[in-house]
Amino acid sequence: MPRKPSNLLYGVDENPGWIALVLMGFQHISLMAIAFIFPVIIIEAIGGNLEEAEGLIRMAMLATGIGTILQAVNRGPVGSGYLCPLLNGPAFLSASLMAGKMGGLSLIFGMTAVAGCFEAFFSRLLSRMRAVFPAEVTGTIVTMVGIEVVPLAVRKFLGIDRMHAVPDVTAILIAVITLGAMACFNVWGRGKLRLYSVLLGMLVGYAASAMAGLLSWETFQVMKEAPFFALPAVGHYGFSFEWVLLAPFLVAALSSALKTMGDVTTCQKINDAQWKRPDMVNISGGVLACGISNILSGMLGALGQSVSSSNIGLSIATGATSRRIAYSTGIILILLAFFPKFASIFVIMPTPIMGASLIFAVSFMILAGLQIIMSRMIDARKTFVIGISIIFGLSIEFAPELYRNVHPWIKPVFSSSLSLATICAVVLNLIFRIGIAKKTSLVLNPGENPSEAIDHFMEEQGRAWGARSEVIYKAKAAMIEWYEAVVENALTRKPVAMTVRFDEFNLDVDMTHEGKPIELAASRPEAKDLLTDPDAPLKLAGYMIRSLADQAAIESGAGQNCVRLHFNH
Amino acid sequence: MKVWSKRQKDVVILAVQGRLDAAAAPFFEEQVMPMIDAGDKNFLLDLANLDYISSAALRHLLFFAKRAEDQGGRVALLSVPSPILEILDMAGFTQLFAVFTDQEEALRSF
Repeated sequence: MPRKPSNLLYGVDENPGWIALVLMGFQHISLMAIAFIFPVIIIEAIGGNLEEAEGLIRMAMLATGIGTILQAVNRGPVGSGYLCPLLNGPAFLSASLMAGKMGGLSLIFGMTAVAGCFEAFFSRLLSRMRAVFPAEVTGTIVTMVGIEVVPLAVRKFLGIDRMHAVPDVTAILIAVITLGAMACFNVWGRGKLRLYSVLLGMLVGYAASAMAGLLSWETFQVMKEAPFFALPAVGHYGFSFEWVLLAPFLVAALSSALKTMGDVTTCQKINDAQWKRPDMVNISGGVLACGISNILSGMLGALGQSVSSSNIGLSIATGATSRRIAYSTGIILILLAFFPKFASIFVIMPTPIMGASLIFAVSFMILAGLQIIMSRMIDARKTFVIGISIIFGLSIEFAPELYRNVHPWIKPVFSSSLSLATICAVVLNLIFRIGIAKKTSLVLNPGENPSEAIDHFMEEQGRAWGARSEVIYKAKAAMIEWYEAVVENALTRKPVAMTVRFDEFNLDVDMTHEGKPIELAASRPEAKDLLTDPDAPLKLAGYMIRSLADQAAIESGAGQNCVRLHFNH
Repeated sequence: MKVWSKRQKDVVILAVQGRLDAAAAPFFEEQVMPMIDAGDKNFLLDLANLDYISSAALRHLLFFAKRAEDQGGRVALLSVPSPILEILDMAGFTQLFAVFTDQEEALRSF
């Protein structure tokens, strides 16, 4: 049973009340609005008009609204049960541009639905792939989920958009004011101020933008001209299919699925103070929700969807992860698709406010990833898995021209730092698993320094296995206690053997010696007995061994005594 | 294992570093018992850099505390790392020793 972390105001199962739900729904949509740029990019690339762009944005609202609700469902096979909003993100951009140029919007929608089917199929395989995604791999993915947004966030923070090719001093000033306000409300604000820190920061940013002239009456003209109510043109463009586009769309679906894995893992971690490892069945439900949302996107006439990392960052920052916020966000998005006048509010958000909001949310995302990585012991193998993956992922952001000439089919992998880092991490993890023994032994002769030998042996194994340091520590402590008990108390004068077995869920230690057995006492001796009773120290050692392990047992026979310890991992 | 000592008024602060196990415990005793013999009776053990403590060493710690109490003083613990604290708790030693996270507060308690 997950335990709610103390930094959360509203945990995943809690109800913040309907006023808070509406306000937080708008807060999330304000951040998601940044992604409305992608439908505009597609329409511009295929030579469409403003009306088509607005239509595509409204379809995006409808499809992602449904997707966000599906993702939050916590019963049945579909959905992760978390506040994990979906948006028309960059995962499908490259493939959609290719499809748009080749066959227009109908081809984009047809191929998106096919990609969704693949993603849904892939989700069914995930629960059997635990070994492929250990903590260092998922931590790297989550870190890269945040890093991937950095170039977009910084460009917008500096005021760079379609109208401004270079940084703008006024825009930077507004971005600094907005980010400063968000940080102030979040760090020093209590309760509601922290809960709505992004929305309040945005309001400060809007006020600064109005004073600086970034928001004029002309800007609001878009809103004025939009109709109050209009039915979304569902399936208006139809569907088509092109074999040659199958590979890029499948790669895009895979990228989306991997991103969902990273994001759902983050959600699991931020909602459970005792989080230990990714729950693959839950992740599988999250990826299935994403796949079904993409099938729906194609059928409705919207672009491909993936999970929004920025919004997860927002939920960490505000301490509100209630799934009801996902429902309210989804419902508001669906309603906005029917009311273009209100929907247009989100289209006119000034660029520096978008940048400040993204930087605010991404800060939390990157830290969540690093925390997952550092939850395990790291050796040279894992250093390579993490380091090489991050380096090649970042190379896409630092020097995108290096990958300009890759084959169009695999372009989606090289169009995203997240996709490349994820594939590197998964492949390198599989390679570096070669040669790691899951069972290993240590033999100690009486007279040797057990502390040092056991400590060195277990530290080395723990790092090779990527074990949790606290579990290795307990096993070490129990092993030293046992050695001191049997050797120092002269229960044996022969070499003693310790065998350790590890898998992701279990750490088992068998310790064997010839001679008198040790008693694993159920109760500890009194302090006064330790000073007077000569048997009390051995009794305390046995009690400590029993208490350090999650399960302990003794087997004796033919002069051999074996203490079997089990530690939950 | 290493032990450093410094004096703050009538309290001896002992910083213990490394592993305090059956092999190291006699060395610990060699370091601290002469201080009691010399008249010191209040001790603050700074365990911030202690990696491990075994039950055999705990017994030596108990002897040390008993000797200090016999002289009218006591032993308190400072900055105990959480895995060590868990071991002390398991052995029932957190009921026997006052545990502090702040040195000033610990010194005021003597």
